[in-house]
Amino acid sequence: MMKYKFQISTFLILCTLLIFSGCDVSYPEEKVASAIKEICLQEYKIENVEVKFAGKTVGVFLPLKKLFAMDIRQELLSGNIANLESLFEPEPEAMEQLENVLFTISRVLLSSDREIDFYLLQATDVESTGLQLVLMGYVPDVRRVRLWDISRTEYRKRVLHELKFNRSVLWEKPVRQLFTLAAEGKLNFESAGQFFTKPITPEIASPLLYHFLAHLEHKQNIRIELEDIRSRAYKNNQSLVYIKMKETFEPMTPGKLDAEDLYPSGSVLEYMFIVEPADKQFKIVQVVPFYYIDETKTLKKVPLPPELDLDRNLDAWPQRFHLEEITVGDFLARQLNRRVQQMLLSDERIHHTVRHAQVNFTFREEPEKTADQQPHFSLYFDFITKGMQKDRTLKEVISDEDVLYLMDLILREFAVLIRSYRFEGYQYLELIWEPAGSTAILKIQPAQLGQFRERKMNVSTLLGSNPPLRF
Amino acid sequence: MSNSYRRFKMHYLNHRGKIFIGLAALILIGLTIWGMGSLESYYRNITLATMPLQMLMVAVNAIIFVYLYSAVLRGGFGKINQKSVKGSDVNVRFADVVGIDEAKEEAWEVVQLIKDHARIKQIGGRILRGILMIGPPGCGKTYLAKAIATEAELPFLSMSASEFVEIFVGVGASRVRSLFKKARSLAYGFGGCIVFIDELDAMGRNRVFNQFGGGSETNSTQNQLLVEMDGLNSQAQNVIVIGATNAQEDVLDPALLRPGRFDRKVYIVRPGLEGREKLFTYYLGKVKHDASIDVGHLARKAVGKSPAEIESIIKEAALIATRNGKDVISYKEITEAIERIELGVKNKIKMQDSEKEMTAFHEAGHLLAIYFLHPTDDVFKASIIPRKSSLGVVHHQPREEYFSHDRDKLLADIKCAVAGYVAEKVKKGVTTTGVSADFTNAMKVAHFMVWKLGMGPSGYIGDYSSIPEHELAETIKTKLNEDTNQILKECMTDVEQLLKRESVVFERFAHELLTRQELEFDEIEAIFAEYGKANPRGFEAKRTLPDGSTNNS
Repeated sequence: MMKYKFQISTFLILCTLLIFSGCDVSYPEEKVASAIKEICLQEYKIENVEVKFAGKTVGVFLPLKKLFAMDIRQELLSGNIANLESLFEPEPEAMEQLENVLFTISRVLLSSDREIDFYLLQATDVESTGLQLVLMGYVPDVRRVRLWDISRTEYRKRVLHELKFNRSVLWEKPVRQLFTLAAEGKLNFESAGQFFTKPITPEIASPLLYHFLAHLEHKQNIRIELEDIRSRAYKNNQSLVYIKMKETFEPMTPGKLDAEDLYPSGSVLEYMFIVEPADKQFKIVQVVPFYYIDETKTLKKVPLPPELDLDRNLDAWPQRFHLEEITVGDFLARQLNRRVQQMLLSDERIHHTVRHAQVNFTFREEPEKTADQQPHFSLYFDFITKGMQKDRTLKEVISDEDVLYLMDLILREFAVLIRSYRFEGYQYLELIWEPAGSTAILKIQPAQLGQFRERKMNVSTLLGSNPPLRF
Repeated sequence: MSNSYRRFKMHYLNHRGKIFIGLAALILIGLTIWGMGSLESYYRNITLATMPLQMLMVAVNAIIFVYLYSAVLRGGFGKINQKSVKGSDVNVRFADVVGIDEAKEEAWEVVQLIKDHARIKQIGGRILRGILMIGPPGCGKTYLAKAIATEAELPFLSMSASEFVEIFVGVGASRVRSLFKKARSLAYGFGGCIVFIDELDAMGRNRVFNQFGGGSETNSTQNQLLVEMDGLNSQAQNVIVIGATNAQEDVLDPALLRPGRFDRKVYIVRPGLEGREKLFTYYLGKVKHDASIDVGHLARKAVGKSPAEIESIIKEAALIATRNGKDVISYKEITEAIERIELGVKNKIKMQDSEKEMTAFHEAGHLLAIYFLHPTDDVFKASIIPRKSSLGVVHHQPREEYFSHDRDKLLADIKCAVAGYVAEKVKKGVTTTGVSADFTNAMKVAHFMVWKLGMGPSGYIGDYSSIPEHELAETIKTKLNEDTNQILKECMTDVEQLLKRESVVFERFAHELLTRQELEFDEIEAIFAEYGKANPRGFEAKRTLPDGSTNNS
């Protein structure tokens, strides 16, 4: 009996150790950003990944050397394009990095106690085109697909992707490269000239930057931290790039500030660069300093006119990686738009019977944006079937068989998706017929949509039971 | 090598499989814990969540696999589930073995030999290999073996020979090998081991060889036993085999009985008067009893009883006392217990009056025949209350043990057996089915007399049953059968004459049985005394004398 008690006790202790070994989270709240960067760097050798948070949304910026396999401009100019899709075929290496970063994000978020609902991955071609692929996903969907609660096909439908053009990346490129090379010790005065449209002079580069470039050899262990970098379009193809940087260095004579140094190590400096396209890339035309050295050799800020209100205005300047918080309703609306687009393209009957179909879902949540201060979905629609006249009325539209078929598909997609997400943060779905502006409104309650989803109500009854407020 | 080291090595060798599996399990669990620690928490939680179900699935698979493996692949049929018992745990001392003093003396010698085996080795003598205990059932063979184990302070492995025998050939031999392997392992650790094989005749009978050169399954089992005990591979370990059997020695294979295997033969017989007295004293000492119980009287009543039967009598008496609401056992309960065990429990079947009458005369016939014609037995009870499968019974037994029987005694047995038949025929002119058991007994004795003992009237002398029947001449067989028949007829004639001669007593007893259902010894003797019929065996019944005293029986 004692023998069995000992064996059972040992087994229970080992099981307890096993169970308690699973108690801690691997990535606590405060370490999520650093963990993502670290994993990308160490496991996948992906550098310069940026991570930001906006509420319950995490954004990851992935700079790529090349996003698409083809040089789009060249291919377009060559005239040898068979189909447009081939233009946007991703570079295999880019795809691999994209997948690795996505996997890293999911790993970290699932093993963290930070409450994150959405992730956004912005994979940008920072070298040549500025094109970026933005992927947006819902974190619970990641959990569900791993537990086989939803299929991979369904999961792919739920991840939104957009192709955008990020001009800030191109504008900021010469500035970033200048300072990056300087920090790496690979820059000198001569080589810095490649980033400028004209030879570097104090008038072009500003005395402070000129001095910086000219005295690079007097410093060692230079570290440049770009605290803020923003850009905007200016005029005549030119753009403005604002930069705030912190420079730390060691003088050549350790422990002693060189006579040539104008400012101590750790100084924070600001510059405004004017850039314009030259030789297929952007180059610096002019540098506007924010600081100067006075007679007493003290670093001082240039007093700018107060009406410029630069500090406030700068906040509005876009960064190359900007993140806004995503809400569930908004996410669902965007997803619905994509799903409906796919549906419209793939359905045979629609293809043969509908001449024009316009569908747009939006979600209104903020009380100031809603007339009745109730969060709701809005469906803007307009359909023209092959048998329909141009001056059709809403009644004609609603009673058309093909339109009803279309509405049935769209509303069912909506109802199923909302149900799948168990989303209850809306009060109604309003249907707005575009040609009438926002005046023709049908309001459908969630309960009615539930009945419609369960096929206890057909689309005619659904639409008929909610007479338009105005025809 | 010290004893502790030997025992440690023995345990390690016996359990090395379990030790390795245990270590492997610990390492695996440790690695799992370490691995889990290095996983990210999401995967850790997923693993932990699915672990119970996975463990359940693995456990089910393992059980199925282990069952199949042990039952089919690894010769699970050959596995024995015998646990060894330490000598001290057996806890049967020699003082507890009562009533078989001669056998005890021999067993004590065996114990001394086992204990002194080291000295014997020095001298160059050979250690005892096997002891065969022969005797009827219930006489204490197993008990004595346990006492040997306790006194010798050695581990004790006990098995029945029938456990070795299976329908599949080779399984028995495999089990013998397993048993001796375990015994040798224990002998290594403890300096010796006792293997007790009960019912040895189940596998130890003379080996049978058929025309094809093969034999039965028991052959291979027995061969393996022979080899283990004293074959080429037998090692110099102190493994002593004690066998027990109820069968005669000649039933067993000679190879088992030769020196080097079952060296010693201990004959355990039923206890004599003194032995029975000791047994009654011993078992009564374990229960609350009336101090006036005369164990000598009980011993005389229990002639031919084995120690197990005596124990059973005392236990039954205790139950009877409990049922009757008594606190102690008295002579009455013991008598009732003897009767219950000997004769059986009374049946409550309702006989017809004619059947009762027939039964009464039948039993009266037996009674008279035994009383007048039997040289050794007295009638202790006559009853027409149905018991077991009989409608009546006459219980008779000798007052002393007899170890041999002469012709007169055998003839008397036959006469007593057929007396029931004769009584029915004399009284009613027709006989019943109740004579079948009596005829069986009578036929057996008569056949035994003629075929084995040379007591037939024709004068054929010898044991004709030892000759294969097909080798006997038909004339001889016919003659012997005629002799058997003749003996029966002569006995019947004698009984008939007796019953006719003593018809008054015969009628009286029948009447008494019909009236009283049962008659005890004293009542029977009293009735005979009424008719002036003294007990031919010189025994006087207890009766009240004119002065009010009783003559002690």
